[in-house]
Amino acid sequence: MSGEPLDAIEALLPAYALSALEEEDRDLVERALEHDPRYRELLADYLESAAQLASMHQPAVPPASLKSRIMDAHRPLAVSASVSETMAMLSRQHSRPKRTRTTFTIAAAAALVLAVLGLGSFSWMQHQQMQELRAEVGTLAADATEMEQRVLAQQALTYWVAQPDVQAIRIDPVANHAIPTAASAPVSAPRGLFMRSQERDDERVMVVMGMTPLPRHNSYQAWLWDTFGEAYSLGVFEVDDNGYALVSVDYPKNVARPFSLLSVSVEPVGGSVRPSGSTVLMGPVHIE
Amino acid sequence: MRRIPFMREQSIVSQRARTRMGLSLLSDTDLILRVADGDSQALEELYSRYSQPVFSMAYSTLRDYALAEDVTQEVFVSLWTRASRFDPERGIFRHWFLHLAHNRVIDELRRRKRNALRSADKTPEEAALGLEAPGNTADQAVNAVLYSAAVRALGTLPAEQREAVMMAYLEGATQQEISKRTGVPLGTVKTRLRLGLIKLRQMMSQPAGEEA
Repeated sequence: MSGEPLDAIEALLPAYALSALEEEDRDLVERALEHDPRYRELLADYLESAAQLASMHQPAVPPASLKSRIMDAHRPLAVSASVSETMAMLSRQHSRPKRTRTTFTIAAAAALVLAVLGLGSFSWMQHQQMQELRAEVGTLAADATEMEQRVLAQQALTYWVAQPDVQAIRIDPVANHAIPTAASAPVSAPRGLFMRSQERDDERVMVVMGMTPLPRHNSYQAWLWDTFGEAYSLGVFEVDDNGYALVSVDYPKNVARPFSLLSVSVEPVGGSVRPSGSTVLMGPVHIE
Repeated sequence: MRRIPFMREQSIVSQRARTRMGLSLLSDTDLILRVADGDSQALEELYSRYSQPVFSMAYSTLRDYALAEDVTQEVFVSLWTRASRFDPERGIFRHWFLHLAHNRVIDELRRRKRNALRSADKTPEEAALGLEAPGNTADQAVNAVLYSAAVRALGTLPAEQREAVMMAYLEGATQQEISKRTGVPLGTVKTRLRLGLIKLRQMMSQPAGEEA
């Protein structure tokens, strides 16, 4: 902040710090900031002044519900504890195939180690063989893990549906939605079930199938809609490569309204404040 | 039989409370780095530190409680999704975040002004009269917090610098709009904003009673 003449960017920095630039100038400054540490240094001083101005606003207290709205919107949906336990139990019941696969993996790894030890000299051919073996072991291990997860997930679902008092509500696909897709995503028919069990302490889960795996910058987000048409986020979730997910559903806190609909939409990664992308699934839930 | 899950829940709650206590000792920078790694509890801690200044900024600028609530929520959503963009080597988190929040608040204020223009098909001057009077927004803030250091410092600025800074910061006027409304050249507005901010910084770094 010396008395020397300012260049065009330097002259714009104070207004940038005060959010007083037109969009075009703002972009210009942001591009310059990316490349020149001198501008960043100057801006840091102006931002300090602007931040002090924040204290001159009339104090106001946000509503207590705002915190839970924000946190609920960004809480990743998790597999519920009892579902985890179920899956762990099923995992134990089906430990034999797992051991077989593990044995195979260990054997393959041992073969790889022996292959490496057996190499008297690191010729180009031998090096190639080692790379191929390593890749094969990695692929086999990944396939085994994926297959195991799929089997366990399907069995957990079967276990849940078999509960005597379970209420299952279908969540139907919404027609004409345009969903961004991951490059390798298979296209199939999305569908879902919302299930609750009184015997299991009114536990609720949602299972979705046939969902399109999304690109990295998108997430699926589940919503509950009250009877006034207001949507409350249940959280974000991802589906596996087969378009499958089983997630627990916790009702939004501090909301006493009855809920009438459950929906799933495609949102930017991390979730949105309110539904903004394509709605993929929707179904009536009638939650008092 | 029902006590087992209850006890387990209690244990989880106390562990969570311990985590929160630990987070409260961390700096803003440590917290935002955790948020960038997807730590939602770190976001919760930053919310407890900054929700009031952000909400106050939104409410006193927009004068609409529900809208201020929405904007505050969007600001914290941005914090969650853009946390990785914060570079501790480039500045202080508080300054960066309040700038992010102010940008969002001012964008909303400008959007409302544009909508008011479109819906009523008025001239800019007529539309401005139909909104919260810009001068009043500044006056209300000044009257409400005369005691604050920022206002004291603002009071020491030459009138033309104070006017430019407040039109920009509180009313969301761009430098071009300030130039048009005050009738002074754009270059002069830029100078006034720059000198105003430099002087503010000098004033606020001085102990009370040592005003130049």
